[in-house]
Amino acid sequence: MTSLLIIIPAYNEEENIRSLIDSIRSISFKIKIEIIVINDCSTDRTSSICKELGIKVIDLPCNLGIGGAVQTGYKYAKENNFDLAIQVDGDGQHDPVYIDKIVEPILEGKADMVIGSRYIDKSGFQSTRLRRFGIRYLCLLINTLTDLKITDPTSGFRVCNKRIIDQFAINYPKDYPEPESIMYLRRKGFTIKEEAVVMNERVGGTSSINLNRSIYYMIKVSLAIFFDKIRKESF
Amino acid sequence: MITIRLQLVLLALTIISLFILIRMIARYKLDLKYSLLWLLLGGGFIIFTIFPTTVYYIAKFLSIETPTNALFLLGILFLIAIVFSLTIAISNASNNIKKLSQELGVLKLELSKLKKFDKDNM
Repeated sequence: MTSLLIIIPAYNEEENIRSLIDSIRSISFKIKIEIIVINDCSTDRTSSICKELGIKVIDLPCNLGIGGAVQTGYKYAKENNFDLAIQVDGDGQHDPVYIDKIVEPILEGKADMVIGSRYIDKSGFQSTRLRRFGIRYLCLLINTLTDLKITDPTSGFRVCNKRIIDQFAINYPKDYPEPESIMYLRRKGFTIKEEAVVMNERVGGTSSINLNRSIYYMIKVSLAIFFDKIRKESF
Repeated sequence: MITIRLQLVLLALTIISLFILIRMIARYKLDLKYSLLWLLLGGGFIIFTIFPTTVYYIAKFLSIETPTNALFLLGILFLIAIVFSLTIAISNASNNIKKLSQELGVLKLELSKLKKFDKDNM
């Protein structure tokens, strides 16, 4: 039976993590699942709440940021021989009822990675106007530099197969990994698909990207995308 | 006075350095996060050497007699910024190393307890 690892990167998500895990547990999946929470050096009760719920937690001793945290999950997936791995953010934006839907194209062999996009059906939480503008700009950048048609390049709600797990375990971008990793996978010749999902607004806690950081984010992500464009396939 | 010779030498040096920098980033030898200031420095120097009038304006604004000195000042300011960013990076890194060492020490103790427990139950 196909096994799926649900990777939940969490940094100070004590307000959201319990309901996320409860909702994952209330769903009966078609495939075998295991949940792993990557606690990125939270200063709140994130880790102890997960342990209370009987969920496996990897407590990172240093704050690595989203990229390093998620890569820890991929390394765990590789070590424990999972067939698929899905990233579900700890802030409750990603609704686990869509997991079966976005896993489907991979099981059918139609894609190596599937991204859950909130901009195909354009329903549910659509993010703020400024962020939508930034996301549209990133789409334009990725779609002109590759042959892909991505609508939600910053979505962290993504599932990948074993070949990509192996790839990500070796190399995963550090700071703002989602758009850059799309470029990286495309360069390596993987097929990427999108499926429509509905996302929720985060309930508690704070996002890691505020207004001050968003300009820095845009500059850095654009540069990262350009640098990936000039990379050769062997890197 | 910025001579055409100085302009050309600076431009050549900047382009060579930028080329090396970009190649190292593309080969994952340098982290983009720590190269941003270097890229900015390179970009700045390309603008200053291609359009030396910008340096003249800066020199005039800061009441520096020769534009070459203004160029030196700008170079030094950039270097101070880069050194400062490195100090921040080193502080973060040494903090993380401390945490890792402590964690590792605790784990070693836990492991030796487990080994002892194993031996006693053999």
